[in-house]
Amino acid sequence: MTQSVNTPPRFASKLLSWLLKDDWETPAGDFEEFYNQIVESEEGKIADRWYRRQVFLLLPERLFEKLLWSMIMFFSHLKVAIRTLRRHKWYAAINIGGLSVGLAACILIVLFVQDELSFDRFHTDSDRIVRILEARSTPDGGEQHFAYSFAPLGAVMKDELPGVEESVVGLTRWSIGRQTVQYEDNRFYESEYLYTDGAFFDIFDFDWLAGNPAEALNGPLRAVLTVTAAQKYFGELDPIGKSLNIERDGDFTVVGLIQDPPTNSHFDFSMILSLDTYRTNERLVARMTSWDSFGFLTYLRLAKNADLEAVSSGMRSILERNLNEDILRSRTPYLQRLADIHFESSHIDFDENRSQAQAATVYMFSAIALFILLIASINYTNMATARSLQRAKEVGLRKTVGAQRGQLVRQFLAESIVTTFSALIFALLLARMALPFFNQVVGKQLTFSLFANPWISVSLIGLLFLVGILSGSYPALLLSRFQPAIVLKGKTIQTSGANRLRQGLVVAQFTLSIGLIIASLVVADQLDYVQDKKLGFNEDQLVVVDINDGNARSNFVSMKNDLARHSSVQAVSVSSNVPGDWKNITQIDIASPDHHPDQVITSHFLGIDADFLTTFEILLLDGRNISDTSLTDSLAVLVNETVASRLEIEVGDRIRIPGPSLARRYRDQVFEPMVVGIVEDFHFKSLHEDLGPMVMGYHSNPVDLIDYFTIRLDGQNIETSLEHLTSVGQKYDPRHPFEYNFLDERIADFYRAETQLGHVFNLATILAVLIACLGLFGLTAFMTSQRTKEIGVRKVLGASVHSIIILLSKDILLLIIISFALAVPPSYLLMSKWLDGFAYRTPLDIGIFLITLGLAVLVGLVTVSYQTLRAATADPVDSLRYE
Amino acid sequence: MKLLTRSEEFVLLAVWRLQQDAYTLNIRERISEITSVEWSLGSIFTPLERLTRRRLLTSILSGSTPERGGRKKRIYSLTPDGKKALIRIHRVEKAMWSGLTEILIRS
Repeated sequence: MTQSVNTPPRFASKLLSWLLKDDWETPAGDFEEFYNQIVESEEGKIADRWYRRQVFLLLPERLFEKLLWSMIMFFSHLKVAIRTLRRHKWYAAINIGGLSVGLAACILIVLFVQDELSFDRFHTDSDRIVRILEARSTPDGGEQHFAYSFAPLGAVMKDELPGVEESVVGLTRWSIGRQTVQYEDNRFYESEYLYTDGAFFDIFDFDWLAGNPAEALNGPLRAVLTVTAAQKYFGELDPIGKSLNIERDGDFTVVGLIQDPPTNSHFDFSMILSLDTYRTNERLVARMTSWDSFGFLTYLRLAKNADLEAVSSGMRSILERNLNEDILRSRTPYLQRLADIHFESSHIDFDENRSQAQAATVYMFSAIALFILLIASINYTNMATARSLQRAKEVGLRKTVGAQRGQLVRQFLAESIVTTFSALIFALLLARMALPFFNQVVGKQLTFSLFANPWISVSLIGLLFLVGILSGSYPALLLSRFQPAIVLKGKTIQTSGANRLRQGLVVAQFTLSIGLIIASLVVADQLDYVQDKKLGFNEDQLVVVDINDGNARSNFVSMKNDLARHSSVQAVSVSSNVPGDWKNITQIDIASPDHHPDQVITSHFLGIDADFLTTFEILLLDGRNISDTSLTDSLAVLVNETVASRLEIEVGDRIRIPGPSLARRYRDQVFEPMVVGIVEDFHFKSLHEDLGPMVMGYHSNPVDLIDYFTIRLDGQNIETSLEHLTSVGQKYDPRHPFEYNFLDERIADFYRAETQLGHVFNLATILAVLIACLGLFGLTAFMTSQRTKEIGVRKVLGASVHSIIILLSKDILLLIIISFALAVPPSYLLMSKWLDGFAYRTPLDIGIFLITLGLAVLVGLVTVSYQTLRAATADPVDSLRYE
Repeated sequence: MKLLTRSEEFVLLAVWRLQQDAYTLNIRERISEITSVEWSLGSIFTPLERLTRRRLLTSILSGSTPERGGRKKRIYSLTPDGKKALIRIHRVEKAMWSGLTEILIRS
């Protein structure tokens, strides 16, 4: 035939093929041929219209039919799946158990990750809000970062830069210090306050329960409380209009009530006070407009579509115009997006609510969740294929009576989805139960409600199908491939390719598990190292008391004596800061005027008394201790080994501390004390950081005031000891609540993130290994059942039980060793990178790897022993009866 | 056994007459020609399917042509039951018409 062939409209023809799928060939062909006839006799348009009409007319009936049948098949599949699960309770239990544990772990980790990623995102304009940070160069070439900067910068940027829509400054405890806040008899020591202006509420969104956000902070002495703070001070009373006394400024009127900032916010304030309070004081007003100022939080809201780069360069030109060269060189403000505050603030040295969170932790947790889920899914795959021999006949029969392959695939997928669904139900219960414990481990208050957030339900359904299809697709494809003629004759199916794949999956499971074992062992090892590391002082049984009162400060000698007047108190010392404490230790510049007058290094500084070394058990290497009674010793200092070696200082040399490092009153002087002793290096900072230079001066010195009492107890009767300390504290400072901390607990805080990681790793490892072992169990069942006849023949020919156990275990052993070889390089790299985050770290010991290998082999062999023993001791008569 | 409907009867007759060429389009064309009415494809499919289910027709798949998009034709043929059904309906019709044909023509 020479005539040209016309094709009908594409979409309609596709639709037709689908509608007539079951027996589509002839009718669809008829339609197309008829279409061609119409095209020849008339215009193409009529033909197209006719074709579409035909398809449209067919649509409702065929759709109904399709739906009906798919429902029928769905319920049939469901019924078969449930029956199969019921009949093989043992397999079902292992499958559902493994999957539900994996899913529960996954749900919890997803909650955690979602919370972490949602930080500070709840404000309407969160993507346009930035804060100003400041980098300061230190004389020895380093840098310090602050969350604080110049007071006028934000306001000037708002005036001059079109990209900046709104700005607000704030003062926090970092600049002002802690204050006593009082309403009638309710008196607390507060640090979670923020002095700011009304624009704060324009930039950030909070839930207002009472008060007017636009006017609340206009004028001095006005306060907005969070619900928590209001309950703390006023109990059930209505806080609005009440007056709250704040130590420094007087009586504030409460004009607003807001909900607490959500836990996924970087704010931690409980009360917001009007910054106008300070604008009534001329000296403070001068400070707030000065380009010499420091210590102000600044938040900006950028205009829509504003370019952060353009705003940054605008900020630089403003600074260049307003600052003198010295300040310009040493202080460099820069911008940080609100969304980045949570994950990218760990480099900031001074930020009262600095976040230590790292995106890496979130990635790590997500990876762990994925690993566990993967291991659990592989489990299902292995178990299902292990069962395939038993299902072969069913498949053969179904095919014989006319089942098509697609239907069988759907049937087996339905089975895996039903299994996953049951597992999901258990997983939800498990997650619910484990949530309080999990919250404790990760230090969050996560809540879990299926219906509060529609995304949770949607993602759970997504998870259900993902896991169901992921784990069920391979067995479905494998099982549906069986040839009925072969399986119904009872022949063994040769599936060497499938066998290899299954072994590959087991290797994958064990690689992940072994990797997790290594990781958790390394983390545990490092935490042990950190806890056991000699810090250079003894941190146990030390109680630290914060001095908040001038009276206690000036009478510190008699207060010390009173504190020591208890049998359990072994030593008492005062100091300006405490080594190992959570607060920032003062830093100064020092030089050696005699040896290297031009080499300036940055050192930490502690003001101490004569009892300091004995209380902390710090070793004096050379020279003598400072004496409290000798007046000349106000010009004496102790230095640590690092200072001595870096500046080549010996006992008797002087060091020079320049004016800017001294307290405000002494700025125009230079302090040149004499080194009377050299102490052994001790870790006054976390082991993440290098041990730096340290200078320790007299208790009354021009750098820093004494601020802490440290008491060494004998640890016999802590409660009475603390009662004694409290009564002495109240005697000297009745105005402030008595506060104490155990130093070792504060030091443990340094490693909270690592401890948390360690807990999660341990849990994840246990779960992963458990689930992987279930999978191994399934695989062994499969392998031994396949080799039943081989084993029978071997036994008939005289093989011993012993040799058969070895034969069967050999394979598993090989798999584990391959997994180990695969797991070691990546985990070695990752964990040594993790350890590099510590300045002081345990070596990555080969012992850990050996222990892991031993553990994996042991666990693997124990898991397979049940199946191998059963196979090896089976009577060959049973397996060879039908030959 | 149920009597054939008119469309079933037409389809069966067309299949019988077309022999080797009895597939949907030809059947439709033949019936349309004789009745001088355009029969739609659907009005042919339905009786074909019903007759096949009642085993009055069987079918085989045969060659494809390009204007069918490469799809095969289904060629229908009568089963012995199909022939019996036709003979029966013919007898019934003849009986119904007997004696009336002349009157109809005369009037």
